[in-house]
Amino acid sequence: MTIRFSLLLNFLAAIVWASLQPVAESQNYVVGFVIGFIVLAVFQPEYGRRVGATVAFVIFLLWSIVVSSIQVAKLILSRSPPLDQGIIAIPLRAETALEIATLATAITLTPGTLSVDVKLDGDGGRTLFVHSLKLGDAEALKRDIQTEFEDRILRFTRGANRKLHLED
Amino acid sequence: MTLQETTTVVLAAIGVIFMLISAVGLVRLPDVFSRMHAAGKATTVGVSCLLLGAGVYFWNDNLLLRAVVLIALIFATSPISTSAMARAAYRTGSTRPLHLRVDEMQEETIDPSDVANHTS
Repeated sequence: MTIRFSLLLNFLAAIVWASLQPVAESQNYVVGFVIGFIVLAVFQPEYGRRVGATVAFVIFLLWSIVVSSIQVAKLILSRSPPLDQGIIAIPLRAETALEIATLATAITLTPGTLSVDVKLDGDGGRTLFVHSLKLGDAEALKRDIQTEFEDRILRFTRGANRKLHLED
Repeated sequence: MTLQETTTVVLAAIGVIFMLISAVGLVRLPDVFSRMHAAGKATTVGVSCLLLGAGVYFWNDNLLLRAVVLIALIFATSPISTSAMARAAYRTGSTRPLHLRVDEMQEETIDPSDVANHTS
C-alpha cells in the first residue's frame, strides 16, 4: 500500500464518518480524518511518520512566519532601515515538482526571504535563487534553508531515511 | 467583554497593525524587492489574523474551520504571484546593481546585453 493510497483512504474515511453523523457540521470532517489517521497509522507506521512530518513542517512554517514577520516589522519601523539585500544561489536536493514548489512557496511565505527563480543545471540538478532582505552571512543563510526547510520537506515527501531515489 | 469578543478584537487589531506596517514599508523601503517583502506581510500575517478573528467572531456558525481553509488557500496561492513579480522585476533589470550586496544570479541566467536593452 503506497503512501498516496493511504492518504486517499484517510480522506475517504473522513467523508464517510462525516456523512454518518446525525447533524451536518464541518468539524465532523476533522474528527473523521483524525480517527482514520489513527487506524491507518497503526497498520502502516510509515504513513503515520509521513503525516507527522507534514504536521511538524506546517507548525514550523507558521512559527517561522510569526518570528520573521516581527523581525521585518521592526526593520521597517527602524529609523533608517538597515538593508543588506542580496540574491543567493542554493543547490537543491529536491527533485520532483511537489518538493520544489513546496520549498519555493515556503521560502516566499516567510517574510524576509523570497524565491526568485529556479534554474535547471546541466547535470539534472536544480538551483533555487533566493532574495533576502537581511543577508548577513550568505553561507549561513544557505545552510539554514537547506537544513531547516529542505530537510523538513524531504522528510515528508521521501520519508525519514531521506533517500535520494524516489519511491512509488 | 467575553473571551470570544476579546480574542476577536486582539486578532483583528494584530491583522490591521501588520497591514499598516506593510503600507509604511511600501513607502519607506527603497526598491522593488524590499517593497515586495513588506507587501507580502500584509497577505500572510495581516489577512490570516483578520480571517481568524472573523472565524472566532462567528464561532457559533462553525466558520472557524472555513477561515482556516481560506488561510491555507491564500498561503498556497499568494507566493506564486510574488515569485512571478520578483522574477519579472529581476529580468527587466529594475533593481541592479544599486541595492544588492551579493548577486549570485547575475552570471547564471541573465545575458547582460539583454538587461542593458531593457533598462535603457
